[in-house]
Amino acid sequence: MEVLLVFGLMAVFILLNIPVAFALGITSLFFLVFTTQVPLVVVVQRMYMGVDSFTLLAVPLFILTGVLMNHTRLARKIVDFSMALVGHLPGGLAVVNIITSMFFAGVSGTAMADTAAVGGVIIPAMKEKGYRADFTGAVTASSSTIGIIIPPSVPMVLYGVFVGISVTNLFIAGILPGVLIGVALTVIAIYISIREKYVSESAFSITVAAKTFVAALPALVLPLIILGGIMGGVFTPTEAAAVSVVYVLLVGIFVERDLTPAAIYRALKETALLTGTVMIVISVAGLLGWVFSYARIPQLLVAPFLTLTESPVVFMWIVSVLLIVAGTFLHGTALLVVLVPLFLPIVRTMGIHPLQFAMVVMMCWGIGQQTPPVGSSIYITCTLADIDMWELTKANMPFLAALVLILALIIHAPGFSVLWIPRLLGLI
Amino acid sequence: MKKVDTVKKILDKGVDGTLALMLAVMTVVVFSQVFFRYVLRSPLSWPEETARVLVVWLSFLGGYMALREKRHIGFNLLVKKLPRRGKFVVEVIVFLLILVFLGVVVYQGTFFAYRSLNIRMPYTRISVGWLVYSVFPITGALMFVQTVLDLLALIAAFRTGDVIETSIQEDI
Repeated sequence: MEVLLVFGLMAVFILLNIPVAFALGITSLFFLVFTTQVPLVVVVQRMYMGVDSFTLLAVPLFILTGVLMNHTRLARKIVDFSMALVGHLPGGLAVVNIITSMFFAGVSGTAMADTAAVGGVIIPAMKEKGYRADFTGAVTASSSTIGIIIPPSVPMVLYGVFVGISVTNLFIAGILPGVLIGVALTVIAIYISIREKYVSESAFSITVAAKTFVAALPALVLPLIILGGIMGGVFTPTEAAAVSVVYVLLVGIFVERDLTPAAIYRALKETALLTGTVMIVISVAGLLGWVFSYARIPQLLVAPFLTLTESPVVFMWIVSVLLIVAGTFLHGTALLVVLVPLFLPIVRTMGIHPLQFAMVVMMCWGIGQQTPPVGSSIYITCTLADIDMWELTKANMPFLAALVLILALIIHAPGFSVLWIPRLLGLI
Repeated sequence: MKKVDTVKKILDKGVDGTLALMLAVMTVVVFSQVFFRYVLRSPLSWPEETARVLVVWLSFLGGYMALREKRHIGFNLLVKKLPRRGKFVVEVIVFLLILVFLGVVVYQGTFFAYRSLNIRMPYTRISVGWLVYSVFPITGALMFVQTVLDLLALIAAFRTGDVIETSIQEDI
């Protein structure tokens, strides 16, 4: 009964286009007023607890790193370097697109920043070279998924704080799946490029590679600082985020000399806005989570789920389908706070490793970002490539299939795809 | 209305500046924690506390900014398809529901802050009521005012026959 009330209200409010944060807040408020005697001060108390976390500081700081990078020429230089590295392959620019996304994923915390930075440079270049607009858009949108899987990743910070697992472990668990996605997408891009007879860029030259490498070096060092620092236990993800902001500022001001005070101020404002949109959902989710546990909603769902299946693998596939379908309409942050808590007791009962389940959620989050009708990557890409989102999706099908393949690998072979590197480092 | 607009513009400039400053301070505070621990080998205790207060403020003040720019996360495809009158009715209901929620946040937030005026943070000795929990009455009131202005603008647009915009412009 309470389950229906809470989810029914939430669905109606969201369909009415009430911003998710308020829809969750109003649902919780209705629940409190009409079914309990709990004093309403719990509303602000829980909202406060939802964001009172030192780890969450990594969110604005990693967003700021990405936004600042976009205000410098560093993105352009990473493109130039990957061009020198892989441009000679068939479909050179498509591969450059994917490789650049991987580099960028290692610096910025959001897929959005990746899409905007990489797409803004490379989409016009690809179209100029005669690549079809839908293929160009599909490569850009699908490779932006890497941004939330390869650390640092804002979605992973949110997940870790919300679910209560180590963000460091999440980051490290994401490395291998992220690389695998890059490889899978590259193979498909090359195959399609050969079929469509897309030209490759000029032949590989060691001098050009060396020259662009030196130019891109300040940018390339950053993922090493972040990942090395976190893996070596030198700093926490939050501290790594602050260090990378300071690093980009120093490079932008003194080396590249294109970060003006005005650009920095714009970047700060943009970051504040993006932070607000995400964090207010996380804050209200603190309240909603309290309502969930008060009404024992996650516990109520354990039994029906267990009668449906007792196999962890089948369970993860069911969750994936639910998350991907919901993700076509809803932003990943909303998925995380509304749906993930429902599955966690079952994850525990079935003995699924928390990191494995986290990676399943991250993959679905990434797939949801590029499936219409709603998705952040797809919006930005369609604008940049100037195409219809359904056309893009048709061209994106082979790439989406590759992402589902990696998802399958995470579900069926976690020992290799997710847990291997954390175990190697002795973290779990 | 013109006077309100001018005041609001000045206020928003102040909010934007405050947000930028908070982010900058946040970076410096967390960075100095690393610096003191590794370079000066004397870890500090106040940065974590300060940073946590800042992140709460940034979340809600940023939330106000997102509300102002109509950039909140949500789903507007259904409402976009409604006829003009339907859109208007839905939007009015939406704004009223948001106002009810914000009313509770402001009222309970004030109460929450008032009860904690004499409680101080362990390291920084900041008053929890004045500087931390006050985030709810202050940003709640800002969002309340913004929503009232949006509601008035919506009614004006409906009367004059202008385009009715949905309260979420674009998914981010």
